[in-house]
Amino acid sequence: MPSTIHARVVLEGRRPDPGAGVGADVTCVRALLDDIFAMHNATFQIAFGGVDVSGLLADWRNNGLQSRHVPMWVEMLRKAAFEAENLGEASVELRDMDDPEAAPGVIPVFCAILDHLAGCCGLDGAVILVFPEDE
Amino acid sequence: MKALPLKDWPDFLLDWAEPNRTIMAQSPQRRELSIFGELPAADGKLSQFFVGRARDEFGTVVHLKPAQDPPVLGLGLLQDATRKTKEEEILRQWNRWWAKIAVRSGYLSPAVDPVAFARLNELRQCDSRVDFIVDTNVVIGGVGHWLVRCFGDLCDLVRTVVTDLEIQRFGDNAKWSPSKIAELDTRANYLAASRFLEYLQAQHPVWRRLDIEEETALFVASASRGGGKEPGADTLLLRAVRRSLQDQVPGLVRLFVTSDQKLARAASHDLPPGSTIAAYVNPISEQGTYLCSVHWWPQKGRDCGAAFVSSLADFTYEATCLCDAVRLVKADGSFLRVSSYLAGRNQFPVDWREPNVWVEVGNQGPIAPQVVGPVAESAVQSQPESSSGRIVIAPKTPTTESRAWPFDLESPLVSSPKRCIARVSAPTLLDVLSAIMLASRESLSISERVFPESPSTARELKFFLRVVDALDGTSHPGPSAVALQAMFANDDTDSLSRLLTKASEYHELISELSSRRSSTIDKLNIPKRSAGALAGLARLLGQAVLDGGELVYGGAYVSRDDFVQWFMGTVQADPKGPLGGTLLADISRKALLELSVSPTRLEKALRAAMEGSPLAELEFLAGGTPEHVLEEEVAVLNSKGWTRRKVSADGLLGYRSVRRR
Repeated sequence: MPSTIHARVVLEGRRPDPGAGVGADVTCVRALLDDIFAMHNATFQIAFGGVDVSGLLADWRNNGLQSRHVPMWVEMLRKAAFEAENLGEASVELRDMDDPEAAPGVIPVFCAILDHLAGCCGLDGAVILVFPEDE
Repeated sequence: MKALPLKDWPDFLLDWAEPNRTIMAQSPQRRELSIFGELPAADGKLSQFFVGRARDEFGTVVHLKPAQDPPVLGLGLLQDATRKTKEEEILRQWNRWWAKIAVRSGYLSPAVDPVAFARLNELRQCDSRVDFIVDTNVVIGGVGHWLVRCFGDLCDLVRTVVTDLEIQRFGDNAKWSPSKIAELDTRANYLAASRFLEYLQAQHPVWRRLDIEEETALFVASASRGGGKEPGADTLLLRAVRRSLQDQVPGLVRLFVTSDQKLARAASHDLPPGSTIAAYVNPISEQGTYLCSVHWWPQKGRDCGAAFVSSLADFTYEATCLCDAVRLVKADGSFLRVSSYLAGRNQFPVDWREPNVWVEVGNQGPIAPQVVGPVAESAVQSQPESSSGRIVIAPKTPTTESRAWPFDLESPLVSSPKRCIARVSAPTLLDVLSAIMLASRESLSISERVFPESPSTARELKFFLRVVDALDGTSHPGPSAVALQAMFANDDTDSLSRLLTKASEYHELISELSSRRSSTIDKLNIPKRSAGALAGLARLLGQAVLDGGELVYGGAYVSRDDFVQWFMGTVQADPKGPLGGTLLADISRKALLELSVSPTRLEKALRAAMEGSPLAELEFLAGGTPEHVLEEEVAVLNSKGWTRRKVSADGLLGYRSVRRR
């Protein structure tokens, strides 16, 4: 179990691109999601039931999350967010720039980023999780 | 009734939900609101139906799960052989409307192919200036809203006369008190399209017209036809778009955006490659969906992205395109009713360019989630005449009197059953009973089309119906048909089950179950031929539950006082759940085993006992971890017929646990 992950997480979307070869980056959203998994460990457990979250993250990091699986992930996370007492405080970078006081919480923002990346990557793409030291 | 400028509406909603609110510095607190819509029923009166729940007043997460049987859909009136297909079509249209509302309000993104999506991303990241030439579906379905939300500072919108003509036609054909889905669709199309043309929240985009040289042909064709799009309109539209794309100047990108699959296909070979964006709004699932208010889009100079936040206020306003009014209800029953027009009041151009919403604040007492059906007669008051000249009835705050106790049958059995070994399918039986109930109301005979096509199956079903006196010797409603009206109107499945015990085999099943409490189906003294179907009927009517392969009796009588005493004792005895509460999943199982009350009947009992009894002192909580639970599909009767719904012992009335305050 990931008791604490203090990391600046970079999410990238990749999709097969005939011109540039498989795995070309088509978009790169640098979202600063400090502590998200640690802060919402309980929420993640609710969303994923008996799944070992650390194993899931390791797999995600190594193999990427297939973009066609993202909608299911996101639906589970949103359901968990609906029932969670606390959604976490989104960092300033993740807020609506026009109305920074409207803090929507970390999980909704995270879901939005995942959704966006999956949309960019198409059915055969993947959303991968990169830690800054990998860059 | 208070008029509010639309720009003030979000703050009003937040103040109503939490008067002592401070500027948020952290995650919004969970404070669930139920969302109900109001639409006219067949008799013209407004009927309230469940739309979904919001996690908090900001609408951070919304569980959108619109009722699948509001009266305006007229599902109960479909009786012919094509009923299933029609029903699916209507529900698809209904669920697509809710997806459109979600897209318009920023809770859902349209489905866009990845190549087009990547192209839009690139344009956004390099801050290109863009003209979106849109078709009518884009204006209505929310794709236009989505584009403006993401490209608001860069784009202009272009429409053609084809769109203008279509919108005018929606307006001409719109009925302001719709009585069926087609009328509702036309009205909503007109309102949704007009609102997008009149009022954009983003300041930058302007609307421009793309002239079609052959416009006269469209007007001539329009004058000679009653409705629908003019022949060749799409061809002329694409021709004009092609010319416009050829004319684009350096530094400006023009794209044609459509939500119409056929038009997108035609555009793919009529227009230059890469200039068509096909963005579809697909219906939400019948099981509902969870939606977040945040959307993400790349933006130059902002660390490659930005969050766009929508709100419950936006969702509510957009929902008034479809509904006459929308109600937001707190757990204590206080509500905020919102509509976008006031019956009897003239509207002027300023009302459309700077819209108002009309709000009413009240208290309707604690609510039961997913209550579907007409607003009670006593709970309505007349309003001034609407613009269409009809009297519009708006709900008044209902009284908070205790609900009637749902159990009044001391015995679930009639005393003298008649011999009947007919095998009947439970859903077909309820379909035909609905038709009999409706026919008896209008003094009509029963159409042969309501019976199964197979002659032998139809014969068995008619035999069963004659045994229980629902059908007379011919094709007319029998002596029990009048009682059926009350049973359906009151969702009284106990009485219906008792009526059906006039048939000997069903009588035997209920009798044996009530004495043994539980049994496997094959051990019951019933012919195997009909045992499964009759057990299914008992389950559908909430008289039994299948648990671990055993049929457990759930139709026992319990008095209100006994129930309240038992419930309070159970909550007190087992406060080991989350936060010192008791899980309703555990209470449901105890109710089934100790009281022989099935989860659906327990739900009815809870709803009736929550007011004016010691249960009012308990706190019912919605959150918590899902438990392994009993789940049964049960019939819900209403004055138009019946529907099914799943009752989970883990989520009775939307609650998951209960504790002392």
